[in-house]
Amino acid sequence: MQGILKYVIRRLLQMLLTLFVLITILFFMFRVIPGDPVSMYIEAGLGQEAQQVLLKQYGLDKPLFQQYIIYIKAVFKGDFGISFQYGKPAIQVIGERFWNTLILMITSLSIAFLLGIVGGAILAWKRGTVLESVGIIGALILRCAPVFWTGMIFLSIFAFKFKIFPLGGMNTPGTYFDFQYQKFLSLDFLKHLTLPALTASLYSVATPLLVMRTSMLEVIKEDFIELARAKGLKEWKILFKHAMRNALLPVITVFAVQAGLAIGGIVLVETVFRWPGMGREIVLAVAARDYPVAQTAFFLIGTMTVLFNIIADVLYAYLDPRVTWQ
Amino acid sequence: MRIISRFFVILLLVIFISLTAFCNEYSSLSEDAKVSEIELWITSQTYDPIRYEAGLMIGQKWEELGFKIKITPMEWATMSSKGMTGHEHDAFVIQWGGKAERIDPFHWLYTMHHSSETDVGKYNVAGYESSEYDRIAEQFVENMDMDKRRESAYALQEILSHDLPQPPIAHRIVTHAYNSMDFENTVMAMGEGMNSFWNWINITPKGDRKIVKFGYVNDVKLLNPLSTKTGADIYLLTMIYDPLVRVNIEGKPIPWAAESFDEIDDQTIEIVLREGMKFHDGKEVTVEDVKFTFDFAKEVKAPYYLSKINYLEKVEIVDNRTVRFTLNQPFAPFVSNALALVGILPRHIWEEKYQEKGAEGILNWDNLPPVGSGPFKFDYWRPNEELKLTKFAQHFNPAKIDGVIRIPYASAYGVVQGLKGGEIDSAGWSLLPLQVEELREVKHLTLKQVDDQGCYMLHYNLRKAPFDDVNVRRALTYAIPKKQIVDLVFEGMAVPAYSVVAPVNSFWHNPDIEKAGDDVEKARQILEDAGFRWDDKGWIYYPENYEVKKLFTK
Repeated sequence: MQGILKYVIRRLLQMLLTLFVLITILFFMFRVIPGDPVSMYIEAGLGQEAQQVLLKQYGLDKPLFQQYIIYIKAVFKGDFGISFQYGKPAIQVIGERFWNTLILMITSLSIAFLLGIVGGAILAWKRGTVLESVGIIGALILRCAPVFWTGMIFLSIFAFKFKIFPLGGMNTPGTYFDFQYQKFLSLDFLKHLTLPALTASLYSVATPLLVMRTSMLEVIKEDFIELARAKGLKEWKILFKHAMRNALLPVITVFAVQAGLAIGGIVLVETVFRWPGMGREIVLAVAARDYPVAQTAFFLIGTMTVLFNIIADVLYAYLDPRVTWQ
Repeated sequence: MRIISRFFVILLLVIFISLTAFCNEYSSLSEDAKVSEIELWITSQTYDPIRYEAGLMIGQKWEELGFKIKITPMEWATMSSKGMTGHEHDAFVIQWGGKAERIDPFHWLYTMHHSSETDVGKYNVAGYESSEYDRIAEQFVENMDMDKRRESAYALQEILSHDLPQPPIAHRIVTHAYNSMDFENTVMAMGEGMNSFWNWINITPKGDRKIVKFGYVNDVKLLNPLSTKTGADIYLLTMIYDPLVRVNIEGKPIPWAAESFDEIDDQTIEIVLREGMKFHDGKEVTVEDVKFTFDFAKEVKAPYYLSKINYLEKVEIVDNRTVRFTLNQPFAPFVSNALALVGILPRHIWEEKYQEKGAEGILNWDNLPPVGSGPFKFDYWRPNEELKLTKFAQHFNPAKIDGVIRIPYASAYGVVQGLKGGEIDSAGWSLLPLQVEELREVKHLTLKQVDDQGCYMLHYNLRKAPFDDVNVRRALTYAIPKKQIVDLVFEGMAVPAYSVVAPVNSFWHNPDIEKAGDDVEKARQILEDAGFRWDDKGWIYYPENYEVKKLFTK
C-alpha cells in the first residue's frame, strides 16, 4: 500500500500547483476581456457617481496587480469574494445551486453508464447483427442531436401532449419546505427529475457504450473466454461474469473524466428544463461579469476535473493488478 | 489620307481633353475628403433579434447614401462598457425602458442631452453640447409651473428633432399575457405593463386560486433597496417597500405613504405621513423612519438612490407627522423622481445592521428577509427556483390577491411555454411577434398591450467624425427606414418614434416636430445641398474645404 500512498500524495501536490496556475489565469482572463460589471446597469438608472461607488465596493478601482495580491491572499484564507450580483459570498451562491446540479449529474451519469455498460456489452456480443447496427446508430444519433433539442422534444411529447411529466423546474411552484434537504425527498421531485435526467443521460450514453463495446471486443478474443465456453457455461454467464468484468476498466477511466466535464454540458439541460443549477449560473455570471462567482465556479470545475482524473488513475491501478506504481 | 489623319488628331484631342477632365474630377476627390467609415454596433441575434435586424436594415440604407458601413455584432456587456461608459462608439442602439420615473421627461430631456452630462459614465452618451438647449433645459428643471415646464419640454423636443444627436427609432408596443380564466382587472401601465405596482394592487382572483404565479427571465439578484441594480429587483422591491408618493398610470404623482404633500416653494416640500402604518414585523412607521431613510442613503452613498437625492439638502422633522425636504436648488421633478422612488426603510433594522457592517458592508448585505411597509410581505426565496410574497393584510390599501410566486425562467422561450402550459398565470416579459402568434390561440390566456414610454434609441457619437456634422446626422437619420422596421422587424407591434418623449406620454409629448426618417431621397438632398460629393463608385466625400457644422440653424 506504500506505493499507492506516495503516488496519491505526489498527484495531490501536483494538483495544488495546477490549481494555483488555474486561479491566476482565471483572475487575469476575466479582467482583461472587454466589458465591466457596472456599465450594463446604466440603462436601468445607475448614475455615474453610483457606478464609482460600486467599482470601489468591488475593489476594481485598484491597480490590477494589487487586486491580484488581495485576491490570492483571500483565497488562501478560503474567502472567494462576494458576488457582484447577489451580494452574498460567491461560495454561497454556488453552494445553493451546486447540489441541484450534482443530483442531476449523478442521476444522469449513472443511467448513462448503466445503459452504456450493459448496452455496449450486448452490442459487442451480438457483433454483426442488425441489433448492433441499430444500437450504434441510435446512440450516435442521440449524441449528435443537440441536447436542448432532445429535451424540447421530450417536453412537447411527455409534458405538453400527454401531461405525464411537469414542464420544468425542480418542484411544483408553491410547495414549501421547512428544511432545504426536504426538497429532494419527494415523489414530486422525482417526477421533475425524470425528463432532464433522461435527456442528459441519453445524450451521454454513446461514450460509455462505444468504449465498452470496443473493450468487450478485445476481451472476447481472449483465451479464457474460449475456455469458459468449452467448460459449457451459459452464454449470459460468460457475458456478464467473465467478459464484462474484465472489459470494465477503460470505462471506469472514461467515467471519471466524463464526470469532471459533465457540469459544462449540463447548462443546456438546465436551461430547457428550468433546473436551478450551477451550469446556468456560470453563464449568467460571465454575462454579468460577476468575477467572484465566475472565477470560483470555473475553479470548482477545474478542481473537480483534476480530482476525478486522479481518482480514475488510482482506481484503475487498484483494480488492475498489472499496473504498477511508479 | 489627310481625312484619316485629321480624324486621328481630333480623336486624340478628344481623348486628351476627357482624360484631363477625368483627372480633374479625381484630383478634387482626394482621400482626405473621404467620409470615414462608420462602425455600427448591434446586439447578437440571440440577445435581441430586434436590434440585430433593425441594425442590418439601417446599415443597408446608409450604404445606399454612399457611406462605408461596418456592422459589428457585440455582446451586451462589452457594448455597454465601451459605448455607454467608454464613449468609444460610432453608433449603437440602446433600448431604454419606460419606467414610471421616466414619465416626467427629466431623464429624456435633461439627463440625456444637457452638456454637463457628457462625461464618461453619464447619460449624454452622444456628447451633445448646445448652449441654447442647456438654457431651456435648465428652465425645464427649475420652473415649478407645469404649463411653463411643458412649454420648455416642447421647445427642447423641437431642437432635438433638428439636431438629432441620438434619434429615437421606435416605441414598441409592450405585450403581456395573463390567465384570464382565473384572474381579472389586470393593469397595463405605460412602459411597465404588468410589472407595474398598479397591476399587483388591482389584479383580482376570479375563482378559488388566489395566488398569482408570475414568470420572468432570470431570478432576482439582490433585495437590498440601497444597492440593487437590476430592473427586475426594483419591481419587486416596490411591492415590499412603500414610498411616500407613487406615480399613477396617468403619470401623476399621488400621495401614498404620505397622506398629503405640499410644494411650499421651488426648494421646499413638506409631507404629512399617513397614520397607522406598520412594517411587516409589526413596528409602527414613523417620521423618524422617513428622515432616517433619506439621511442614511446619503451617508452610505447608496448607489440606487444617489442620483435621485443629489438635489436634497436636508430632511427635517417638523412634528410627529410632518417631514420637510429642503433642496439645494430648484428641482421640479423631485416629487415624482425621488419621493416616488425611495421606499421607507425600517430604522430599527437598518441602524443595527449598519453598526454591525459599516458603510461598505451594508451595501453588500443581502437583506433577507426584506422588511418594508408595502402591501406585500416577503415569504420565502429558493434561489433560482421561486420567490413568494404574501399579502400584508394590515396595509392601508391591501391587495386583492393572497400572494405572488415569482418563477424565473432561463429564457423567453421558457416563459412562453410556462404561460402556454399553465405553469404561470402571467409574465412581465414583453412578447415578441412570433410568441404573440403562438399564445393568441391559447384559450385561457388573454393578451394585453400598451404603448411603450421607453424607446429604441440610436446613439451617434458627436465626438467623432462624421457625426460631429449636423448635415451628416440629419441625412443618416432621414435614411433610417423606421416604418419598414416597424412592419418587418416588430411585425407591426411598434410605433415609429420621432421625439424622445413618447406619444403615449400625452402631457409631455410634442407632436409638431420635424419627423426625420423613411426618406432616403431627402437624405441625399440634404447632403447635396451641403455640397457633399460622390465618386463614381458611389462613396461619399466631404465638400471641398468643408467646415463641420455642429448644430442646426434655420
